[in-house]
Amino acid sequence: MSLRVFSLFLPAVLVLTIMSGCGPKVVDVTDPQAGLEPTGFQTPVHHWPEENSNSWIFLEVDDPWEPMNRNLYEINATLDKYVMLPAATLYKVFIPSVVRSGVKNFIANLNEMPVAFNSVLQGRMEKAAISFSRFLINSTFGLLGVRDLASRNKKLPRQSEDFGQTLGYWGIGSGPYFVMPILGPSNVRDAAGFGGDILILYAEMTMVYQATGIENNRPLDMTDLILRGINLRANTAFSYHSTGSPFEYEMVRFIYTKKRELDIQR
Amino acid sequence: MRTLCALTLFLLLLPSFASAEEQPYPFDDPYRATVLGTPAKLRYQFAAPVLPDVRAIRIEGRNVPEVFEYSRDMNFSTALQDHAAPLIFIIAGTGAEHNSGKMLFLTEVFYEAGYHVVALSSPTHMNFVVSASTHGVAGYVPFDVDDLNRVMGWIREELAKECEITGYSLAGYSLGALHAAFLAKRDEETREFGFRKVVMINPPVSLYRSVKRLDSWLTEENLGRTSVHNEIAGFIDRFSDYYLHAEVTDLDDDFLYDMITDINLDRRDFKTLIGAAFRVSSASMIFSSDVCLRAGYLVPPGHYPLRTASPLLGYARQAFDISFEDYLNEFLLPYLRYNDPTATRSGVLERSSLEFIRDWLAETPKVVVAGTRDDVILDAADVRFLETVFGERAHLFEHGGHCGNMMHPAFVRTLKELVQQ
Repeated sequence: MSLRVFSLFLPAVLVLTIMSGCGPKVVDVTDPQAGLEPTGFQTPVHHWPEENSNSWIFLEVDDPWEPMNRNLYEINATLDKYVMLPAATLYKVFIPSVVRSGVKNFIANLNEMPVAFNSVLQGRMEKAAISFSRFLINSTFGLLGVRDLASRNKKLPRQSEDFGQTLGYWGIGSGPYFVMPILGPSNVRDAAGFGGDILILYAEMTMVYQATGIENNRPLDMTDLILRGINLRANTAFSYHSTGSPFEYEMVRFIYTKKRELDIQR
Repeated sequence: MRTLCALTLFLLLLPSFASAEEQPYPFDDPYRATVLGTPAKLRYQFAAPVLPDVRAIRIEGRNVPEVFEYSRDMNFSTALQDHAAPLIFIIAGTGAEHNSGKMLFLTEVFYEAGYHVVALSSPTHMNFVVSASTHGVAGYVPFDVDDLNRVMGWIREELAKECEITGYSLAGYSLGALHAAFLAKRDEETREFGFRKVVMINPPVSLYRSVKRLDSWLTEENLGRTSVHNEIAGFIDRFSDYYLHAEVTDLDDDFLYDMITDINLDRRDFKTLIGAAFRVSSASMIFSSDVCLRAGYLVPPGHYPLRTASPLLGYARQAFDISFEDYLNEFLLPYLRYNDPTATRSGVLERSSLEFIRDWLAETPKVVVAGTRDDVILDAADVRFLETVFGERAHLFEHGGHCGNMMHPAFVRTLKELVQQ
């Protein structure tokens, strides 16, 4: 499928998804017995939260904007349920897996450059060399990155470095936890880092357009953005409120923070 | 020449025979089996995988607390045949959702066996408590069974509009298996569904005895002097250390599997992990019930109303420290007595055990068991109970722990035979 067809197809999928108000089909039922009316029952024993408790202290994360973050988490969950997830599902249903993995590889290949750049900024030249080699191999022999031939070489595993990690590497603290609109869990440092990575990608894409002589790149930019979004959603296993825990926000916050801490150390 | 051809053919076929040969279930330690399940490479492969639809039921006018607004609708999933077929309801185990890994797998098994499939979350899953439970209190089997039965009725009515249903069957794993048995007994009296086959997969015999075992692995009995807090913090350190030195970019199932096999967990560790997983589920259930009822167990009256923006970590910490025994004594029993002052502790425990319907189970040919002899939620007497009461209707594998070998081809074949007979 050509890029031009994609550029028409993907917005169409999104519009259709939004218009149809996707998400699970809901059936309304009535049951006067199941209204959850107040019963007045009180337990004889309590386990109320204790101020300054030391138990499970490792679960604590600096989160001064928690009320705002929680609201954002819910807005993101709703957007995901009614827009992103249905779009990703349609993408999986209508686009053959061989094309999807081509798209995934193509985007991952473009992402090698920010990874290489960030590795250089951290002075990790071996990582930078691996990412750059991967980019060269996949861009040439891998048909512009559509095939991930580099991963067949065990010495060239895909690296993961971003600007947030670079800032962390140079000793910049994470700052408060922050739930980014649409994108989800982050912190002040990583949100700023995300902006840095976008700039690097922007510069990379500008170079690609110049090299290929494309002048009107706005439709392509739009396609790139939507495609990246759908590709990311289709390849992310997490879904909101699937942990079955009312404490999901706390779990995600802890796991995100811990993982970023470790990623910076790696 | 013919011999040469035959020999060549034989040699060509040999590798395919060799690879097609089924490997036995790999773990004979039941705790390891329970945590690790069936390795991906050894799992049963479906000829035509199916993607179930997620649907939902909304009870009009239900008072759902704002903090649980996202859980207002009761979600379930369906995989429907494109021709007339019997329908099977599957009920999840403690704290599990309709589309958890085990439930998706069972959905595929019964779909492949020719059924329309409806997968339901456990009544102990917070979504069920918040959106569908009549009392808002989970863990008392008679209430949970009533709720399941009501929900199944609504779903049947809805699905009958879009597909032809030729009969009804029922299956469940773990606590869901116990629910299935009681649903079948109830159905025998009401004839609402007229279930033909009822498959109990790795059931507890007594809910109370099984959860007592799970609780015991987070106490001194298993942990010695360390507290569960320290133990979990220790696991996080060990996992972190492994992650720091592993060559990975994706934290997928394969990575988790490799990690758990590589860091040399011992039997005590596995017990702790199983106990902690159960505790996470029960903490969710207890908090959900408390908020729905405003019972004052975890949330002081002054903290209401809980909003979407309300921080919950303080309640999570408390909830994780509550054993099922505490919940039973401090919340469930007082609630049941509040409803019916004649309720007794022994009566309540009895009604949540297969022993309560023993005579009926011994006589009814349609209820069958598929499980393991080394199931970690059963003691020796429980295994004897299953063998004595069900006789030839109990299909017990030697190894597999609690639902660990559920995805192994031999177990899947048994399940399919049980519903196809």
